[in-house]
Amino acid sequence: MTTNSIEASGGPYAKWQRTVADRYADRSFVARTRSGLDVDPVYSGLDRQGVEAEMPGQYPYTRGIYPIHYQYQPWMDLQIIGFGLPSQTRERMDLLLQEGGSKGYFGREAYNFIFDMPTSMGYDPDFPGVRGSIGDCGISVCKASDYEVLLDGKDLEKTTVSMVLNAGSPGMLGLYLAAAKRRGFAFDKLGGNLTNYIWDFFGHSGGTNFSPKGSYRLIADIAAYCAKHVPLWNTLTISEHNICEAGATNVQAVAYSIAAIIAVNEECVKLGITPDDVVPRFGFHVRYGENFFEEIAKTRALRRVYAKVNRERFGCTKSSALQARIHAQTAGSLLTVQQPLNNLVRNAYGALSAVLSGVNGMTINAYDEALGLPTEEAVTLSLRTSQIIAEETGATHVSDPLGGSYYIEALTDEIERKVFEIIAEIDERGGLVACIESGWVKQQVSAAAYNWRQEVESGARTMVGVNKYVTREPEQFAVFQPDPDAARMAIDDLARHRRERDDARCTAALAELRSAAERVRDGHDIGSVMANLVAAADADATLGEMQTVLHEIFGRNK
Amino acid sequence: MSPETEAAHLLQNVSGGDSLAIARAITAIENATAIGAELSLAVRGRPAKCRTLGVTGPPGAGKSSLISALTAILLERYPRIGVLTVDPSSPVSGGAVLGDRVRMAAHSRNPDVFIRSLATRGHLGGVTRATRGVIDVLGAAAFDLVIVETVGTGQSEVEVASLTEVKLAVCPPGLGDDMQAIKAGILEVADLLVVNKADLPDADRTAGHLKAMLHYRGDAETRSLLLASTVTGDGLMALAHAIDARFRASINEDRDVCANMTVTPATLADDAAELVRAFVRYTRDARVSDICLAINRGEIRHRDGLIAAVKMFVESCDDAAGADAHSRVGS
Amino acid sequence: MLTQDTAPQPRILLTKSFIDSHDRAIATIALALRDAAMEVVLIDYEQPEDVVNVALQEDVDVIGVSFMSGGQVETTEKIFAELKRRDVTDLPVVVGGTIRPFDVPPLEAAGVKAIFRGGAPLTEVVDSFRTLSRAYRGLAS
Repeated sequence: MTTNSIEASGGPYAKWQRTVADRYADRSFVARTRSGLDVDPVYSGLDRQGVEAEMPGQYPYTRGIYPIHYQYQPWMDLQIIGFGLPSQTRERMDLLLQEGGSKGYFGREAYNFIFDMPTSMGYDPDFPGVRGSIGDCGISVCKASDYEVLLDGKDLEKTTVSMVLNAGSPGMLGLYLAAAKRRGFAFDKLGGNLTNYIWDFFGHSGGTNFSPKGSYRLIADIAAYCAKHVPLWNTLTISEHNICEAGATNVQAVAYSIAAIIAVNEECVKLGITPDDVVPRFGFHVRYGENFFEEIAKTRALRRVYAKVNRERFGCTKSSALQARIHAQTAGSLLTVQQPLNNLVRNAYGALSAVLSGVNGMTINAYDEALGLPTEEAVTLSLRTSQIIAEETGATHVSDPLGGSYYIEALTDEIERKVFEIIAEIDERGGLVACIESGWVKQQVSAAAYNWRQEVESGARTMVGVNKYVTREPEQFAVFQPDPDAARMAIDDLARHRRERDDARCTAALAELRSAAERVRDGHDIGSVMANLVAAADADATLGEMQTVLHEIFGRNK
Repeated sequence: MSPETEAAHLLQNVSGGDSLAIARAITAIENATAIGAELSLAVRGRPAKCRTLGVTGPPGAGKSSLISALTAILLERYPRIGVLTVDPSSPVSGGAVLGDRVRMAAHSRNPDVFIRSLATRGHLGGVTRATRGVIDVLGAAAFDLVIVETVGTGQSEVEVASLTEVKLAVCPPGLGDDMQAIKAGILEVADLLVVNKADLPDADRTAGHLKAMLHYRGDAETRSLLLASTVTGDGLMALAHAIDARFRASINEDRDVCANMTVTPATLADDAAELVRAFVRYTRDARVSDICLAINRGEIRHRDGLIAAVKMFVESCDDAAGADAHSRVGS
Repeated sequence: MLTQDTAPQPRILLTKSFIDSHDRAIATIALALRDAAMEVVLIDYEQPEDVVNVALQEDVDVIGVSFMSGGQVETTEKIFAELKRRDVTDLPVVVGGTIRPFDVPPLEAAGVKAIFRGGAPLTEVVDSFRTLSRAYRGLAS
């Protein structure tokens, strides 16, 4: 009843029908509204060129990477969780589970851990100068046994563990796998995600990440190891979100993200690793902010450009290497201190634009995050936002519902065009690494950030409650206070750990790690760094100790 | 207290190594105050012990990180090192963001490393108007080596040639527009060339290209070309040795005359202008405003007003001398 | 006391912890201060003492510290302790970033001259730095 009758048997729509029939047998995905109207899972017609439009699940995946998506399995809700000590975070995890959150796919539990700054950068809690940041903004983790506390009693084969951190990524995966091994879990059943933000570039400063060459090498090592031993693990996330949060426009952020993928693929090719083997485990972290329609268009453009680049530039043939998996996050930079309840609304429409774009997972920020760490109430409200969209609005019934809109299609095409322009410019400048090294990327991003701020200051850009509709209200919101004792406890626990472990065994394992790192740096035995990180973590080496070895071999930026 | 006397007091503390005094002295010279002008004069010509290294190169070459890494190594032979980094002032607002020393954080706590960020304040040539004076202050504070990092626009970096003994040109890997900048200005000036970020893919090719260029110019014998990476540490020792070797080669055993001491009518004119400028600009004597008013109203000729101001300056010097003598008697 | 030491251009130190990867706020404020004709030195500190050391070498008029991930009170108190140790107690200190309500009383007790939460209007921030700078240099506002 609903689509144009396009019956050409070889066309996209017919192909899509066959795919769905094959995959889902007799299952119907037609929904019915309260008014009694039947709603198809996808709508189609002629595209801007006047030919039959592509369907979701068809190259270049503009409309989505699956023929059927939320109609079958909703997005994964991944509230970011993490503060203080592992035991303290575990309490919050239990609360979320109770409230109906932390749902992974197909009945799994899913947790999206964020770590404090020292951990994120690969420092142990007793490193000089980091004390004030312990447990603030994330969990303090430095040894395999911390995961025993964090995931105590969990069936790891049914738990998706996502880890959000920077330079400490390789070591952190080592800690997790060592803890899983100790509990007797086979690696090939473990599913999760390592953001691996081991580059210090997109407008971020500070932190001690590896050299560009070293970063690529480590990414390749982890990807190769996991492809073989932990095949369900997602080994790299390109954070378009972070680039936006540093101030970039959507077009810039998408372009730099694709340029990053290009750079990683080039490294793999150089090392003799086939992109098809590792790319399927890469993914994106994308920001959903204020430009409601542009967010949707940029997502579609990102998927299209990703598919084209991987196929045309790197010869990928596996569909999983052409499909961009996306984890959405609402925009932190929009969260205002003034009139914080407004942020509930901002997060809601951000989440909706993500759903309408067709994303795999979602993190909805807490509304009070501009004030400090989120309260329990705020975190629950974020969960409710997702639940309301999923279960009340009917937004899950149709894939790419804005596909075919004159506006969205025009915007998608334009963003794609501009993104390819920037990629060409980056190529001309010698590639992404050269652009990072010369400071060009940082300059572009800082300029965009400054521009945005000036627009807000001048009133050219409205921020409700900040430069328009301002009220002088007294502050009355509870702000979460992290445990002031967390730092002391973390440091004491680390000291105890060092006293109790078998030092000889640990030292030997770190020496092995060092040899493996040297071999990998020289282009041999790719995958053995990760293997030795697991072994060292199992021998009770700490994150900081392993990180020191990695920095010695793979360099340190700045 | 006259500016001359105040400057002398400050200089005493500077010579004693008091870092707050050094900082204040640099500010005074930068701002061309009366004290600053006196200071510049008093510290003119640094002790032979104080070597100077100029570091030039286009933006993005990694000069600051390289200087930081070299400083760590050079401290062994040069126990007290000063670093001056130069960033451009905004031509529109006159302000500046001075971000080079972010890359030198390793030395923030070392009392033997003094780092100062200078803004060009409209001065062209790669350094600042005050750079000579600041180098001299550091010399007076018994620094063994002063490293000057130029602003890095490439073409106009030649002023550093006259300010520093040894010149190091830093080139990023890659053969784009930066190459033109390097060819144009920096090569004229450099004793040492280093291809930095040698851990990146294009480094060897760039080095080869530069080598060919030097050979073509017939310069290959007198210049050294090296590769270095602050990220892996490769080449840094060799670079430090090369710099040190250049310094030792330029020592003239008989030389006990301070660098840049020769006074010529040109340098005397500059010094005179500086002293008078500082006085007329900053004096609290209201007669200067009166002179300006009179000139603007057409009551006196511009030139006559000028002479009157200069006479005021001479008067103030005489008064100061008298006051100093008086205060010495009184104390 | 240098009676004729006038500072035509305010010099400001803006700093954040080396461990903090957020630098959008500090970068934006640096540009705003530059556009207001000030010279802004940027560093990442490892220890609070570094902040004071750099502030003195650069002879700045105001220290601005940005906190995005912890250490608000502890670090600020250590900075003031070091200023006292170096006998430069009148150098003004301003803090900004993620400052929670319970941070405010101890920060004010320590002696900060202004606290700017995220989203504070740039003009207010710039004016504050300018006023503090002139006061420090002994100039009429």
